[in-house]
Amino acid sequence: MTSIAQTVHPETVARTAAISMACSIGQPGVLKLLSSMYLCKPSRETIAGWMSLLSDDGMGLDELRDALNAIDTASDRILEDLLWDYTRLFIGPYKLPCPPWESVYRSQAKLMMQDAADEVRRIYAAFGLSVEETGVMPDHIGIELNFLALLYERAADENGRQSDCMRIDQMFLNDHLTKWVPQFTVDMEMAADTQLYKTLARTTRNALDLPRA
Amino acid sequence: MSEDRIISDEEESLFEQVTGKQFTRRSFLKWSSVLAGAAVASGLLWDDKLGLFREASAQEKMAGKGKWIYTTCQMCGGTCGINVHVVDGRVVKIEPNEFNPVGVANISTDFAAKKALGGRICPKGNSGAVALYDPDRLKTPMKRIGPRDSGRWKAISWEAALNEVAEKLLELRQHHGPEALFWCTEDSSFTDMQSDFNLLYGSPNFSMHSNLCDVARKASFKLVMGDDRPLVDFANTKYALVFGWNMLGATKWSLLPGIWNDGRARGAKMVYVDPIYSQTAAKADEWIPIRPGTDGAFALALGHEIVKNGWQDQEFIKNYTVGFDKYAELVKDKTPEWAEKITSIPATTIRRIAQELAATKPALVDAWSGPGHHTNATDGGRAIAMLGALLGQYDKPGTMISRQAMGGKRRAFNLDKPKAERVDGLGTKYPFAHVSGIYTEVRDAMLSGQPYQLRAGVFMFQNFVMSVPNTRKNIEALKKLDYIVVMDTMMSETARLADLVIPGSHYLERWEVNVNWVTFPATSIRQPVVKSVINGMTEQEFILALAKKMGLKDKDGKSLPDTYPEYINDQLKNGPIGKTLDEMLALPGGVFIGGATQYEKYKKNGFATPTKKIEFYSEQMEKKGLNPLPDFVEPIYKPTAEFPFYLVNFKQSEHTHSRTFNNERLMEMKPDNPLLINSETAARLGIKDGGAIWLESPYGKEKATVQVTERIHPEVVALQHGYGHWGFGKIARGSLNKVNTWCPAGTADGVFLAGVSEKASGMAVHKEIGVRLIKA
Repeated sequence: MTSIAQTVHPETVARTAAISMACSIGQPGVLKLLSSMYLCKPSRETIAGWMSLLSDDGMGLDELRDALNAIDTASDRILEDLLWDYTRLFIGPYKLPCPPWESVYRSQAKLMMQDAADEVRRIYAAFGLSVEETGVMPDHIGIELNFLALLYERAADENGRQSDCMRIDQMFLNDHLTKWVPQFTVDMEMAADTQLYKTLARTTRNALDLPRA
Repeated sequence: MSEDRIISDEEESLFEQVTGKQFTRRSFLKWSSVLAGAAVASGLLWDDKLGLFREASAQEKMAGKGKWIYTTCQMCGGTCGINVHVVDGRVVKIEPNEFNPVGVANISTDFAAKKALGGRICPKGNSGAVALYDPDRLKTPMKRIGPRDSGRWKAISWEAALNEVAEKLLELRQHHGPEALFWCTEDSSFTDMQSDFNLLYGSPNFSMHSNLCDVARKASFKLVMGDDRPLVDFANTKYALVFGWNMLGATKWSLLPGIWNDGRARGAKMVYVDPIYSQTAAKADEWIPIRPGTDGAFALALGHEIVKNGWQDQEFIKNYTVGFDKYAELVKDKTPEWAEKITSIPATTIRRIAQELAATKPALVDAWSGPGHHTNATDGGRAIAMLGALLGQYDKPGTMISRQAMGGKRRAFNLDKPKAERVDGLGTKYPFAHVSGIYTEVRDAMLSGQPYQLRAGVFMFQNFVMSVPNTRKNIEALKKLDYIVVMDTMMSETARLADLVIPGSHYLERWEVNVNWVTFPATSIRQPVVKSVINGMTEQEFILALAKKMGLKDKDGKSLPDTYPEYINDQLKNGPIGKTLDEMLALPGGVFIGGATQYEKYKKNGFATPTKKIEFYSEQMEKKGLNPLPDFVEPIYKPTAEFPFYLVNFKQSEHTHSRTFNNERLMEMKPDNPLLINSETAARLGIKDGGAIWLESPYGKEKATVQVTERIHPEVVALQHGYGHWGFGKIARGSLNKVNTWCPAGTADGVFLAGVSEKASGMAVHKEIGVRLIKA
């Protein structure tokens, strides 16, 4: 852990603090919401769940809330279009326009399960965690966002070890999410047919305070 | 979520179920994945499981532990041995497995001497991990939404896919009979178990790969000398006459370049016959450019010269062959001058080669798919195979050698023969066809409904649309089926037409037994070196689960086992090898070697023909109304005044069939598929290198890029097989092609072909059509 901490970038500290302030449901909550939106298929139930979290004002997620509010969940056709958009973007069966794995963005050969997957897995292990869900690769956008949320939670939860956690989250942002999410979200925004997924791409970038690639 | 939010009972129980921990508020917040609020309660990963993180085990905390695992490659059907470096469950390197002879040598003594020097793998084998980790792999079963070819899919669970296929196939059998199902598969891919599935289901229409590959060669050698796949001993020969087999540039068994180098180092000469100057031609002493489909005429003229000059091995002919006199009569007028007109090979060259071949021993004469993909292929192949017989060059060091193999013993079922005959005329219309079936006939039966209507198709790792000649007809035929299931690692042109697409496994994720193609008994194990990258079922697991769900049993209630390792363990244990799977894996390199290469086995056993002798004259062909002698017949689809050029296809070792074309490592070597045109022809037609051109046959018209070259017969143009994808990944569709904007995926060869099969063997005719070139 000590060696990881050496890679901390001072800018990140200021940035993460700013995001926490902006979101009344809390930074971990925002990240978990986004994580869920990448990992879960859109359906009446999931959309209702996401909306219930966004019902309060002033969370800095207005655009995402508007996009969710605009969905006519009574319409089967609209739900089917949403599901197809999600499927096409993240599952297949065709060439994925925005493969949701860090390895694909960061490896020269553009493959899954390359060095980045190994690196994040080691970071999770260093934090005592392992990905439970065997159907999801460790460098999936949803897993990385969720891990970051856990880091923030622990930082708040365990006062004694706060400094360690903070170091890991800064390192994790710098060395991983920052390295690929800007391009990923641009690709996703371009490829998405529906407002919801275009907005999710922008919101993800904004929530991490990342520039547009 | 914030710490004071209400945690529902459902979340509590989900948490306990997933983590195996007793629920406490603290542990929930600390450890659970805590997906956003209601999403936890309802919602839904791809397979409806929850819980993102758990506590890492001690082992997981120890990173960087690697191990090497022996298995076999399946980038093609060659079954070369590989040794895979796996670090933390991830494949990081693939090296050859020197314990597996397929990468070393095909003669036991050569293998023993050479294995310490290491094995070999080809460009495809080296790119195996690219296919394993390709982000475009299919990841979950997908069900089509809307009409066929709508392009829209819905991800469904493995269980739902199993239920659907089981229900559809049971319904099909009930309403239309089991024969309404057509099931086909790629080779070296658990064909045993798929065959059993079809037996138990009751459909006779199970097809494999070889019909699209080398069954004319198989029929030729089998009819002549009783072995459908004798193997070359290049390493110990003095003279090799090779017809249309680019074994150095389109290498299947990676031992081939090595054994040719060994032979050459010991003074062997090679004469290579092919309309295309391939890598093998480049390493031969002499390249003989020949008109496509006329190899048989060349072989008969060589036979003419040998017999006329009395160079044949009279003793061998007397003891081990039948029908020589009739053959001698046949070749009496097959003079080199006669053959020159047909083949374009100068008569003086034919004379010289006949003399060299007859004077040099040991000598071998072999052929593969060059002569084998024509309408006269079986007879042409027989004329070639008979040259070795004339000179007594069989089953001796340095000649063509019959292989001895030790495999497993298949599970026996007590079943009645299927009530219906096969739709494809295997054994009837095509009397010497291979068990792999006749694809063009299946396709035509789908279109015509004769002899009966096929209604459902299962396509296992087999891109029917691109692989069977005449692409347009293939697409029309598949559209006639009511229900199509495709199991493959990637989308394909065939999968686009499917109702249900099921992700296939990669060979590094599954089990198999490989009986290796060397002259001595060698059997190797393919084993999973990583768990499924897509967290899916293997095809084997899927089919076994399907059989179970459908309740498929024989008359004694016997069914398939629950797991594939169990299935192959039984085969190995009960077969001639007599070892369990674990015992096999404990052998060096996971390879069982069952003995040495043996020669002149015919002295004891005879040849495996009806007469037990080599047959220059085939009564079994005569009985089926075919010419008992290998007389030359012109190819049916040779060029005409309107379509004046021969179009042939060829293969290269960086690709297998049409299935490796989304592999970036392989495609970057040759992103385009230019049409090879002889420089003289190009100059005459005013065609420029690198430009676009229209290529047209009576069956199709497509654009191509031109490559002007000396490497091809002036009357022939050629395309590499496998290019031209429109329903495969982005790379296969041409994303690496920076030059050619008019057909970036490269031009496909199958669209130009008539789509017929050779009359004796049923071999799909891939290399016989006349085309014209039109300036674009």
